[in-house]
Amino acid sequence: MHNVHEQMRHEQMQGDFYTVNFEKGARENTIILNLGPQHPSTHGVLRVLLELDGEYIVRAEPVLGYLHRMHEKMGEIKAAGQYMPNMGRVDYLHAMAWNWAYAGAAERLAGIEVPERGEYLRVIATELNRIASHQVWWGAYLLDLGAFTPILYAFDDREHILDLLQMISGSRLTYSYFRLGGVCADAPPRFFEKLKEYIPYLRKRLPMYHDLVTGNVILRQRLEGIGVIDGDMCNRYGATGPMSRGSGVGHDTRRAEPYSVYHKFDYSIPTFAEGCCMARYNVRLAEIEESLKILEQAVASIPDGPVIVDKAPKFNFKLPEGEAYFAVEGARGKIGVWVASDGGKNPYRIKLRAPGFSNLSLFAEAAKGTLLADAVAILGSLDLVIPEVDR
Amino acid sequence: MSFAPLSSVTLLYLAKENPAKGGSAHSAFLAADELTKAAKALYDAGYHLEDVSGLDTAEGFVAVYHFDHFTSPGRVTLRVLAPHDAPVFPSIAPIFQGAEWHERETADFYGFDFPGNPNLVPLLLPDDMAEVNPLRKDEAARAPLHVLLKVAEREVLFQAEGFTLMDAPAVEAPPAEAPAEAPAQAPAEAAPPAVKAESAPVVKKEAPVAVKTEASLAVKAEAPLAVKPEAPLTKTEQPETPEKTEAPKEAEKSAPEKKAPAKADKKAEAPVKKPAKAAAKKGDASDA
Repeated sequence: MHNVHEQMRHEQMQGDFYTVNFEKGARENTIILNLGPQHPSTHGVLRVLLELDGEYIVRAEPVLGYLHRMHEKMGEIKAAGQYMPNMGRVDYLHAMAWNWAYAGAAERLAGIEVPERGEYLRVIATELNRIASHQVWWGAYLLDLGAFTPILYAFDDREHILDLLQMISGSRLTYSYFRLGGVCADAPPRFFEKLKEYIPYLRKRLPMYHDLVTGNVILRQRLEGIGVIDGDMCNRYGATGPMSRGSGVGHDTRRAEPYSVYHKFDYSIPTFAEGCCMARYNVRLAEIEESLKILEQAVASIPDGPVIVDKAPKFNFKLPEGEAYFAVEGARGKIGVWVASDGGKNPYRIKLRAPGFSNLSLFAEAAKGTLLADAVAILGSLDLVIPEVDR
Repeated sequence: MSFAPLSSVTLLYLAKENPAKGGSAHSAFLAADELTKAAKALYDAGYHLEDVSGLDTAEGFVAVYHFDHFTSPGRVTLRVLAPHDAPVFPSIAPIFQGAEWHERETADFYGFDFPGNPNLVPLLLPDDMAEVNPLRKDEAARAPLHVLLKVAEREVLFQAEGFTLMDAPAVEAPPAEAPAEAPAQAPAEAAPPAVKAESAPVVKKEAPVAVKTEASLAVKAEAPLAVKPEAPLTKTEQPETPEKTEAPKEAEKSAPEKKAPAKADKKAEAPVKKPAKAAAKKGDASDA
């Protein structure tokens, strides 16, 4: 018995596979610090190995896999129509966009056209969900930085969105609202009434968000000029979404690869050139306003008609032979789903391109040489959802 | 070739596609040793890396690279084929640092090797699962490339001589109704090996599988492709001939292996058929 305990203690001292591997590259007189996987600033179960020289970071290495569920394999052992619930669980904060990415890829491959009312409902659901995602990020990020109050306001406002989305999809977080060929159900009339009330309500609340924190000198000193990422770095790591738009790259998949009915709406792509944490903060808050603009137009102009295509694919729908890639703009960046099929019972291959995965991969380079406290600010500004990173 | 960013790279295949149909604007096949050059060319042209992934096909493993451009959008898909027994692809992580994680993930799922990757340790799977590659397919479940990568509105801009992976094989026999009768209806070229296969009791199990692929191809590809009866032997048929001629020697050796679990089976069989396949691939590459 004694020996077993001794051995266990010895192994703990040595660290696990990743620690041992990380320590190989360590310099002299540095400290190896293990951050996570149960650290509050890592939003879930991300683990980061850090090599510290005093309070400065010499080297950082995120360790993934704690929430890995092999969604890509699950895609190969289910029929095409049965995979949609998985999509709600890849990214729990912007589940609608993942719903859309998969539905879009399958529809592109099968050549299915979605009725216009279905497309409008998709836009409404996805934009509402985008706002909710940014609200959670806003509250949680400021919590990371030491401000407790904002998250209470953010969750208060988000609650209304969850109520709205529950009305149309039946669930509050892990939506499975989309179907191949449309959406699962039409929205009740009460939904539009409530949504029309919510848009001006949130518009009025947003200045309060800014008054409460955006101009705060402590916040600005913690974010401005910290974690600067330039356009070249976005290219090398494939960082998209608010990451690239905070670095002066005005790329948005809704514009770059137009899909659905987005071309009918008037909205702008908020872009900030500084590349620091503050720029990414500003991008996300500005995006809430742009999403409200889209919602307002969509509610005003939604046509009547069916919400799902006639003779919509059933759960055991067989995808035709071939491949298709479909990208949508999620709250964290470009979500891509690549489907290849041999015409068999199940899809042959489903690849999920998670924006958070690419965004996090640049953390090691961005955190190098910064203070430990700044690394937490950078990590938070990536807007991580670990289930999406690990899939 | 008329795709400027890749004009300096030796490609095997280049096609222009309608992004609204398949998602890519351009797709290309290239040899493994041209990959880093192509990645560099795309980086210089301002492309960013979307993802790296794999595909397990009847012809071998394919590493798939998706790139896109921030300011002039149009997805570029690069594909590199490697034989099943040597899935080695040079790492593009020195050029696109983001590829390091994508390659590690693909190495987890498929067991690929990416020489040049600065830290090729498991990323998503635990470190003691190095022998498990969950996205590899069983031999019988592998589908040919020209089926998996079918896209409406693809215009081939360039195709190297001897590169036939994306061509559907010509149909010579009427589609077989049942796999059991298939050997009798097999096309003329395939007939001699099929007869040999019958004399070896063990291989019998494989024969219907092989013929089934052919039969299904015949059904699927009938419309546009049935017109070229004198087209050369296709990829799917080629590697089988050496397999089956060797089979009688291996008869008693592979008999017990059939009962072993799929993984062990694959490994034990590897030395038997892989050289033949590898040789076939090699020949192709040098042709090009």
